[in-house]
Amino acid sequence: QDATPVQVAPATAPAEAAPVPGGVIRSITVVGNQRLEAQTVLSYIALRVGDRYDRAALDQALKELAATELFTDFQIRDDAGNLTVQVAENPVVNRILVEGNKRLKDEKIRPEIKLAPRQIYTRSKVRADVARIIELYKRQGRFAATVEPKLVKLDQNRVDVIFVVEEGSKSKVRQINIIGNEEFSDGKLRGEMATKQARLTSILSSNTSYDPDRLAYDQAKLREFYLSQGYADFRVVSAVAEQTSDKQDFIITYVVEEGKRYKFGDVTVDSSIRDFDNKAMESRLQIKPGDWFNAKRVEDTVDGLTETAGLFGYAFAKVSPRYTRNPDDLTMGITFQIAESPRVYIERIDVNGNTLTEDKVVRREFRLAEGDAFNSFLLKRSENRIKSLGFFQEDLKIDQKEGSSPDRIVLEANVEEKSTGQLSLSAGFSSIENFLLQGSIQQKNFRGKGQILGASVNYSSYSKSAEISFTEPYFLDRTISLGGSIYRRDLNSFNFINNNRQTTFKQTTTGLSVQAGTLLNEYLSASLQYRLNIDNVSLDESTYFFNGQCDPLRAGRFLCDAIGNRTTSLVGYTLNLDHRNNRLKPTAGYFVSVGQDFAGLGGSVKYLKSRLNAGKYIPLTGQFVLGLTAEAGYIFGYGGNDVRLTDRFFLGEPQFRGFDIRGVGPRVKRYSSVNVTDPANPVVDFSNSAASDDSLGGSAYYLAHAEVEIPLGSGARDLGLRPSVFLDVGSLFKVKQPNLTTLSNTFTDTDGNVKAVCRDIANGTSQFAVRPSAGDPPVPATAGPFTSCPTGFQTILPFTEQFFGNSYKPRVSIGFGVNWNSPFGPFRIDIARALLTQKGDDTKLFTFNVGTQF
Amino acid sequence: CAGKGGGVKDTSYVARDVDTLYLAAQNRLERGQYKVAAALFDEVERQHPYSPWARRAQLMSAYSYWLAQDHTKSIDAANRFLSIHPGNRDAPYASYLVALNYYEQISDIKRDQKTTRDALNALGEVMRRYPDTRYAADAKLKIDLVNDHLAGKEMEVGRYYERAGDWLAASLRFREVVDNYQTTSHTAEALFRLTESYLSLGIPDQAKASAAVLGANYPGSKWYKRAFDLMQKHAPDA
Amino acid sequence: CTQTRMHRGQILDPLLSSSISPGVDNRDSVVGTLGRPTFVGQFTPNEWYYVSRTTKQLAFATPKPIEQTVMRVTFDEAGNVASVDRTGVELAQHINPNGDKTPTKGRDRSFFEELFGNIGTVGVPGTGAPPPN
Repeated sequence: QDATPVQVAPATAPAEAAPVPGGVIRSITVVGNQRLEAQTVLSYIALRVGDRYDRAALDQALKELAATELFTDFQIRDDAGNLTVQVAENPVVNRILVEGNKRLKDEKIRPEIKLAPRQIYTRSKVRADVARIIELYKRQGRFAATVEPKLVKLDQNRVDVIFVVEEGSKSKVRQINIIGNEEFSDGKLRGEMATKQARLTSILSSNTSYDPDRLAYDQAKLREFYLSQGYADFRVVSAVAEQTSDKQDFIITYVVEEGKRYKFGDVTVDSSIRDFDNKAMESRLQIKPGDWFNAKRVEDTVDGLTETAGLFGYAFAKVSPRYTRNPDDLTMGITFQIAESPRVYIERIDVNGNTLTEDKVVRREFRLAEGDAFNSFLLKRSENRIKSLGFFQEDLKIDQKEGSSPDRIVLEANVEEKSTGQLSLSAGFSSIENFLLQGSIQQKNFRGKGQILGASVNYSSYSKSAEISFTEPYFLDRTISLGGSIYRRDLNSFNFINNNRQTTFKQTTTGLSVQAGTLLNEYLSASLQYRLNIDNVSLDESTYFFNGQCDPLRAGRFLCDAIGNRTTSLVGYTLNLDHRNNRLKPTAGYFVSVGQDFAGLGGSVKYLKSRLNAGKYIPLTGQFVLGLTAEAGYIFGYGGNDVRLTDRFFLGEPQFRGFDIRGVGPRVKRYSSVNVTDPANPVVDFSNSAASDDSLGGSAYYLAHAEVEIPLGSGARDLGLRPSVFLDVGSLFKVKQPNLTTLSNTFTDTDGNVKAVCRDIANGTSQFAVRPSAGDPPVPATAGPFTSCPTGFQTILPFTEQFFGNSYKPRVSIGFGVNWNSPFGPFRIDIARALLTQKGDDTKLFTFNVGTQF
Repeated sequence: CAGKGGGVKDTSYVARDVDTLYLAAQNRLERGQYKVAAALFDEVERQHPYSPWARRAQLMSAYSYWLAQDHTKSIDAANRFLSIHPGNRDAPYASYLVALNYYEQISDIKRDQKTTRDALNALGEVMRRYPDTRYAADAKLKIDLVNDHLAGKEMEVGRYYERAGDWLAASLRFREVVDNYQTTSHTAEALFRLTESYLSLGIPDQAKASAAVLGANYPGSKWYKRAFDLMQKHAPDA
Repeated sequence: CTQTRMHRGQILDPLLSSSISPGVDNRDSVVGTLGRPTFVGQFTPNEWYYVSRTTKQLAFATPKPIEQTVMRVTFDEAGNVASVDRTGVELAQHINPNGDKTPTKGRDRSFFEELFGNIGTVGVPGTGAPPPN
């Protein structure tokens, strides 16, 4: 055959048969087959040597050959019983090409083509591929597109298939007119439709193109809208689409007939299921006689009734509304008919598609077991529980398949596993931690057993920490979640000296924790925990030490007490009652949680720490939600030793907005700018900027927030803006008064003058400074007359310390904040003003933090 | 050009005569480069569909994909061979190869058993269509193992329900094993589990019936001994 | 207050189930009133069992049956109800399932194999497939 492209001619199937068919087949020979073997061709037709045959048998054979679509031409010749089956095989596809496609690229068209090289060329496959390509163009709005399949014949009966495409232009809808609508404006009705008019503003939107199917859809939308407004007699009289004069676009005109507006007549339920009494059902219907007729509410009621039937085990109950129209008083009576159906029991629960996750990990989330009565509520809960595992696709549905008999059902959870490993790296900047780097990796479905394995590292100037954690949610296949973690934390606590940070003590903690928790019932959960910490608190030697010893003059008595190594071994419990409707963004309900940690199971630290945490969320009008949360804690040391600085509570930013870090509660302020020009009565500069301020923490605290989130329009919500107004009230108190170094007890000589102190570097004994002699270096006047110390001595200029803030009286702050998931990460700003403070508290008006997830 | 084996040395549309192509594929196979060999065998079939070598090439390509453990491609190639040459004398081998590909992908009983069921159907196909070939004999062996595997999955689910205290669900699962998988190695344990389930469901005479059948069919097995002890302890007079 | 109650098996309406009486009912009438049985005696096909059980579960403990009815309906050869008897929760025994299990031939996935998620195969790959002759 020549290699010129030839139009695909439908094969003719002449069936010459001998004039007098009939008798016995003596032999069958197959002729013309190249690729297929003779017996393969014979296996397709029913004729066998020795059978009787007649005209119908031959025609049947030809039909069978045609059905295989393997042959372009086939005939059966019969000369007195010797049949010869003459076939010409369809060519084999060698290559497939697409030409003439500009708008749609090859990668878009290629997957649509089912015909592939090495397959046998059949007309039906080519026709199917052509239809699929045209469908692609339709979705693009190009209805004028045409696709021509061309064949290039090659040697050895092979063929190249070329799809020649002409894309044609895109026709738009220029104008939509609606005639006969009095109750609703054209604009309102156009809003209901999917097709939009081609205007400058709608350049991008694809549904301005003219698409006949979408017109039909628009008509249905119109009808649905009118029905939901009570116009039961609504009718679309005609819908015409004419081309514009320049043949480019279309103008669509609808003629509608609204008819009268109906109300609901009497609404009854007629159920033929045994334990469904109609009166109870009717009372619970949302539709009341006299309301405006609304088709949508009828549908919702049907769903509601099917749902209720499902609750009682009637999975396949059929609820159908029957309307009785009353044109004169314009009412529509409805009877909801529930058809007879048997109570259904679960025959089998199958989990499919779980190539990684174990069967029991999904099965244990089912609230139904095999043999139970079907219950749509429990099914819904099972579905939600499986979805909240987070291992599978978002739109997971448990399929209900007919069982082995009408009253049996098979539930199938067809899961598609998604990767449950998460690697998240984020950098951030906050007023607490300055620059912050965070990295964490977590596998939520470790080994397909539903176990959670996580490791996280974060690094900032304020703290560095690394942690590995593991949790088994169903320990021993029971509802006990057992988890543990090993962690290492380095904390640089700091204070502020005229507003720049100065690291005071460094605390490195290495520890492990194990916790076991269980759900006592749907809302109450309890958990036990054991924690072992090895702490090492150290001070910066150069600034605070005096020949190897922590120098109370420099570091202050309380800091010196804090340093050293300690092991804390504590066991604790928590009880948690949680009635919130949503754990992440609660809008209703309340929660209360109480817990106590008892440190002293071995280890050198002994204390009992109790905590209370509660919250209530009250939905106000509109989408306003008032969140009231409160927390309180109390810790007391026993066995003779006091609670150490690092174990006490601290309060300030970020929990208590409007105050600085650890800005609330007992603290020691050291004022080092003392003017001693007149040694008898020194002048101390008590301004904040000249003081260094160290918070001592407290063994008791309380803190409450009242926060209202302001719902913005949908526009702002798309941007992810969530502003809120808040009021914080709280206090930190109850700590032993530390003994302070003041001017009077350290720097005032017996003669009543304030003098610097000289300390012997060798043995640490101290004595007062004397008047400088001629050779000494000049000293600023404010340092006063007594400043010179003998050689080998260290001079310490006078300063004084004061103790503040140890009062339970509440501090109050009020302010507003904005949460914004900006394109480069979550962003939080808080502007809060402290209204009521105690002496010594450090307030802070503006705090922010931003983090990027990459 | 369109539609050739992706990612393999570019065996693009270079028309070569059938012998060189086939030999090239053959020695790639011997050298263990299965993926390349498979692609070359595909080329033989594509460029020379009507040569006698084309039929062999289809089979060899399926075999090469099998050695390269690319089960999906191997199954496709074998099925394509079967669709064109159902009557060929190598057809039994092709359908046996399909069954083996599924058989290789059976994962352990805690996971989805879809491939196990595919394997069962494919092996059944081999035995039904080519009963007197040596492939059928091997398929018979493998079918028993696959059934054992499916029974194992049912037992795994049944034991889960036992541990969760859903004894009714457990009994239904073990009934499934006794009814549909009698020839597997799990039947003895299933009967024992039924004794356990019926006792805890408070239906001693069904428990007795299960234990009796267990004793009749597996008198020496440890499961019967345990069932006997259970019956003595919990329902002596049943 | 913290016990969760679950209902397992058939929902037996006391009024209906007491209406089944020997000599009067046959297979179809029983199915009509009670629906099909929870299960049929495995080796005694003309015994129908309706099992209905309510269990109570405290937190993570295994659920305990607190109330149960097992209704057995036996039919004679002709398919009519020969006898009906009911047993309660007193017969339910406390059984600890035996820990042993029959090994399956499939290879269980080793720890590291699961860690890296590739699918364990049953036989050793490549064996058992002779090349085409």
